[in-house]
Amino acid sequence: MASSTSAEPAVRLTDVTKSFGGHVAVNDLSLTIPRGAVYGFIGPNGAGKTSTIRMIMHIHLPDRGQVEVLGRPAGRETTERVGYLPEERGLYPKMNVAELILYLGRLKGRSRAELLPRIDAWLERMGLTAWRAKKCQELSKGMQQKVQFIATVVHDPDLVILDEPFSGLDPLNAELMIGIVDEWKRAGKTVIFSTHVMEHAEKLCDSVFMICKGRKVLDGSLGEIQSRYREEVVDVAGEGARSLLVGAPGVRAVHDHPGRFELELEPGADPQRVLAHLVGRFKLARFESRTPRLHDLFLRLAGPGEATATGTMTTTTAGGE
Amino acid sequence: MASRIWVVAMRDFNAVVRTKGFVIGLLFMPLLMMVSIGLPKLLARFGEQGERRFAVADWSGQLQVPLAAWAAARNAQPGQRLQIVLEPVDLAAKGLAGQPYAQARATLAAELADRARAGELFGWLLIGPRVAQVPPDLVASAVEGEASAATKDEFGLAYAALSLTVGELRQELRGAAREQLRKLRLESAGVDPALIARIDREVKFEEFVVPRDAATGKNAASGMVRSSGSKEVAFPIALVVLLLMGIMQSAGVLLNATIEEKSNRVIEVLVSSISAVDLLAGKLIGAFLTGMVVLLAWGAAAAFTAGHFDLLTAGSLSAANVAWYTYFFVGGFLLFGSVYVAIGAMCNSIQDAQNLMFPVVLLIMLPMLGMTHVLQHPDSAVSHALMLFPFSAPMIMPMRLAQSPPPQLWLVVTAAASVAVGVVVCLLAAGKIFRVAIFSSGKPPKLGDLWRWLREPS
Repeated sequence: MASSTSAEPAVRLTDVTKSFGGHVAVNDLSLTIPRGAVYGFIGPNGAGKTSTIRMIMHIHLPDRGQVEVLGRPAGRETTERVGYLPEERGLYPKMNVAELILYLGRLKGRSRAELLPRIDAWLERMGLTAWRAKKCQELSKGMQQKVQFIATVVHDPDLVILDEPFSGLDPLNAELMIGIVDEWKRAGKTVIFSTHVMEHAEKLCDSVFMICKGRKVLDGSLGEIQSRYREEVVDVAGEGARSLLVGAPGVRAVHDHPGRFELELEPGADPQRVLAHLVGRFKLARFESRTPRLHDLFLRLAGPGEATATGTMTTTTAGGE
Repeated sequence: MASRIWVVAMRDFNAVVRTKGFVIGLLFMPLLMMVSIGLPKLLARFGEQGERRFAVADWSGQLQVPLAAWAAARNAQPGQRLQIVLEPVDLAAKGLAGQPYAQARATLAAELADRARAGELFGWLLIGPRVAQVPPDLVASAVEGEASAATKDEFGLAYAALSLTVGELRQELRGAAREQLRKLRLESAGVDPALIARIDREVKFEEFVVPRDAATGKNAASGMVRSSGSKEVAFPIALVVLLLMGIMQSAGVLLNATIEEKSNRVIEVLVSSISAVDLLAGKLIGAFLTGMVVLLAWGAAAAFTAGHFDLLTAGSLSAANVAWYTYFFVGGFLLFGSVYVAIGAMCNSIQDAQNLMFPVVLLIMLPMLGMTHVLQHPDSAVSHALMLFPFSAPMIMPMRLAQSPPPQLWLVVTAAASVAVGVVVCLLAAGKIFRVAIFSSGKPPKLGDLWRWLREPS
C-alpha cells in the first residue's frame, strides 16, 4: 500500500455524479475535506448526503468523477481506515455484544488480539461492561446505539463518518458522544458528521457542507459562512409602519417576530443604505446586523425554489475549492 | 480480502449451527429414519390384547374344521397378543339347515348383528353351501340377473364385523379361508393337493446386475453381482432426496440470513467494510458449510441405514462417484444458493420472498418429478435433458451415477460443464442483483428493475 501524506485532504471529491435509474442523486459535486476537520454534512431528506457518504465508503461507485479518501482513490484499502456509522443501522439481535463488535472490527482488517483490549476499554467507557456477554436484543435502544458507535470506532479509524449519531440517545449519552468527538477533534482525527439537527452541527463542526437536490449549495468554515451571510439579516425594533420596512432599498422580505422585525436583504445589499433610509422615518430602538443561524440558512437554502441558487452561496475555505 | 470472506462465512455458519433449532433439525432426520424403520415393530408391542370372537356358519360343512385349525395355529404363534376365537353356528339346531340359503343367511345375519351389538361377537363369517365346489363359468353359461347373484352367494363367503378397519383380522380370515377353499376345490376336482403344493412352490427368480466400471465404461471382469430391482433403486432415490434436502437447507439458511440482515439494517455496516461481492461470497461459503454439516450427518445416517439393510449397490460409493456427488452438490448449492440470496436481497420480509419463490420451487420440483422417469428410461431424450439442465443435473446426475449401468462419460462431463456454466451465470447475476438490491426498500423489484440491474456495468 502506498503511503499517503497528512498534507493530503481526508476526502476529495472531484466532479462526482451519481444517478439511480434516471434520478440524479449527486450532480457534479466537488468537495474537499481537510484532515483534522470536523465537517458537517447537512441538507434536506433525499438531497444526496447518504449517496455522497456511500461513495466515500466505496459502497456506491460514482458514474463520473473521482473520489479520494486519505490520499488514495476510494476502495477497499481506504475503507479499512474509515469508521462509518450509517443512519440506517442495526445489529444482529442474537449475537452477543462483544462478539458483534469483534466481528465488525475483524471485517475492518484488525486481528482478534488487537481488538479484544479495545473492546473492553470502549465498553467500560460507554458504561456497557456489564452487558459484554448479553445478546444485542436484550439491550435498550440507547445501549444498542452505543454498541453501534463502538463498532464504528473500535478499529481506531483515521476518518470517522457519523450519520445522525445522536438519534435515539438521551441528553446524557449525547453529551458523552459529543465529548468523544471533541477529543478526536483535539487529537486531529477527521470527522464527517451528517445531521438534521443544526444545533449539533453548529456546536461540533468547524466547517459545513450543504447539499440540496444533488448539488452543493453551501461549503465552508462555519465562521466564514456566518460572516458571509451576516449582512443579509438585520434585526430591527422600534416604532413605525411595517410598510416602511418593506419599501426600504435592498430589503427582500420582512419577517415579524414579537417586539422586532427581521429584515432579509437581497444579496449584496448594503445594510447602511437601509439604515439611512429608515432614519427619520422609523423611530429605531435597535438596528443590528445579525449572525445568521445555520437553521435559518438551512431553511432559506433548502426552501421551495431555492435549489437554483446553487453556486452563488458557496464560499471558499482554506481547504476548500 | 479472503480472510474477511472467511470471517463472514464463519459468522454465518456459527449463527446457524449454534442454535438449538439447527441441532434439533440435524438430529430429527436420522431420528425419523430410525423411527420409520423401528416404529411398526415398536407399536406392535403395544397392540390390542384379548380376543375377537367370530361366529362361523358353514353351510358347506367343509370349511369349519380347517378354519378352526388355522385359528388355533395362528393364536399359538409367539407374540400373538390378540386371539381369534371362532364360534361354530349349529345351523340344524337353529332350523336353518333346510331353508333356502339366501333366506337362512338373512335370518342368521339379523340374529348375529344383535349379538354383535350386545358385545358378544366382534363379527361373523357365513360360508355358502357350494363354496368348496368348483364354480361354473358364469359368464360362459350366460347366467345373469338375480339367479346369477344368488348362485354367486352360494359359492362365496360373507364377512361382517363391527369394524372393517380394526386390525388385520379381515385380511387374515380372508387369506385363511381362500387358502383352505383352494385346497378343497382342487380335491373336489380330483387334483392331488400335494402335487398342487409342489406346483405352487415359488419359482426361484434370482436377480443379478452386471457391474460396470463407470470410469472406463468397460464391463468388469468379476462377473455378476446379486442384487434386486428395489435394491438398485433405493440408493439412487435416497441420494436425490439427500442432495435436495442438503441444498435446500443451506440455500434456505442463506435466504433467511440475507433477509434478516436487510431488515435489521446491518447490511450497510457490512458493505462499508467488505465489498458486496465478497460479502456474498462469505455468505455462500458459510451456508455451504452449514449444508455440508447437514449432508454429512444425514448422509452418514442414510449410509448406515442403507448398509444395515444391504441397500448399497456395487460401486455406488466408489471414490469417483463420491467425487462426482460432491461436485454436483457444490454446483447445485451454488446455483440455488445464488438464486436464493438474490431473492433475499430483493425482499424485506419472508412474506415478500414467498411470493418470489414460486418459480424457484418449480425448479426444485423438477428433479423430484423427473426422477422416476429417469430411473425407468435412463436413455430417453427427457432423461438426457434432465441430466443436462443445470437446475436438475445436480440431483439427477448423481442418481444416474448411482444407478446401474452408469451414464456414458460424455453425458456426465457435459452435465458437469452445464452446471459450471449455470453457476457462473447465476453467481454473476446474483452478485449484480445483490449489490443493488440490498439497498432497495419497499416492494420487491419488478422484472424491468432486475433487467436494468443486470445490465449495469460491474
